[in-house]
Amino acid sequence: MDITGIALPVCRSSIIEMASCDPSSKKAVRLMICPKGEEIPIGTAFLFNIDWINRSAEYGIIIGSKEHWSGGHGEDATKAVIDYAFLSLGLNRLYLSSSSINKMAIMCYKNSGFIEEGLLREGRYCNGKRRDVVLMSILRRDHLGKGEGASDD
Amino acid sequence: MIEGKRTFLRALERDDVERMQRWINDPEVKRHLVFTFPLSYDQELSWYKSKQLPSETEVVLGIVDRETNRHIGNFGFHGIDWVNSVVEVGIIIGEKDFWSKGLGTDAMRAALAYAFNTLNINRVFLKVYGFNKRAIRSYEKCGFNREALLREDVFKDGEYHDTIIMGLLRSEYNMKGAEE
Repeated sequence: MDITGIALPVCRSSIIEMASCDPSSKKAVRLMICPKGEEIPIGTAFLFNIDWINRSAEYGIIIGSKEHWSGGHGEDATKAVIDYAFLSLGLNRLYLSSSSINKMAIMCYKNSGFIEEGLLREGRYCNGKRRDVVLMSILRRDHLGKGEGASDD
Repeated sequence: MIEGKRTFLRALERDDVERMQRWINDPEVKRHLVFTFPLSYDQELSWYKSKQLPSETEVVLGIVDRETNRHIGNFGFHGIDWVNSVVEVGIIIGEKDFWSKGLGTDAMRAALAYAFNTLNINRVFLKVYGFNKRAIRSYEKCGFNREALLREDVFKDGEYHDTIIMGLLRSEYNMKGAEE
């Protein structure tokens, strides 16, 4: 709860509502993360606020299974979603926000290619303290380089 | 009513709807806004009606020029976040004859006093397109600091443009007040 920025307890029905995104709306893609060869998901990754005119989407990821923290799964999943967003959905910009105290997440995003764009000072209140919020993004040109299209490997 | 020196902010009325529709359909005004599609009178009326329900998180007010007593633009407090004590603000001067007269700056100053002294908010922020130099200057005059540059955030007139996020904290606002 401390790192997600969700202050109020979340009820079952609102989670169901969040998870059941209507594919026809083309506004969000919500995916479960499973380690290769395993069936039980360890987290979820999602693209939301998809904006087709501006070709942008917000990215979010939660590794809910704490024993899988620091296992590199978050980075692996993030890279897969970035590829999907640029190569399959044709987006131009992915962006995200993260509490500045969530160093592990910020490292994961950096390693995946996200770049820091700014700092919302005192953007969040958590555990009695005002915290900054880091904004990050990755552009299509950051990811694919100057030549459009992916490499073949 | 929120009182500025040269402007004041008042509740919107149904008679304002046609005027606001005209503003938003004006390409020179719209260029600086999020809107894309042409907006019908009924769409603007539905938006107006949606704002009439009591809300603790969304408030849009009309900006009136004191000298002419004309409704020249709107000011919005959007998505007031009471836990984090954060509010996003937005301003539009729809009457182009009233551009570059410092009226937006005046309205913003009045709204900031309201946000910090009446609503008890800790952080006010806004988003502005990088090409909107006039607006950026006005926000700087009000004390806003640049916090982020969202690269290629918006597509307009055939190309991508950056968006700037600017923020103002209560601590900075109070300090500035002490200097004056």
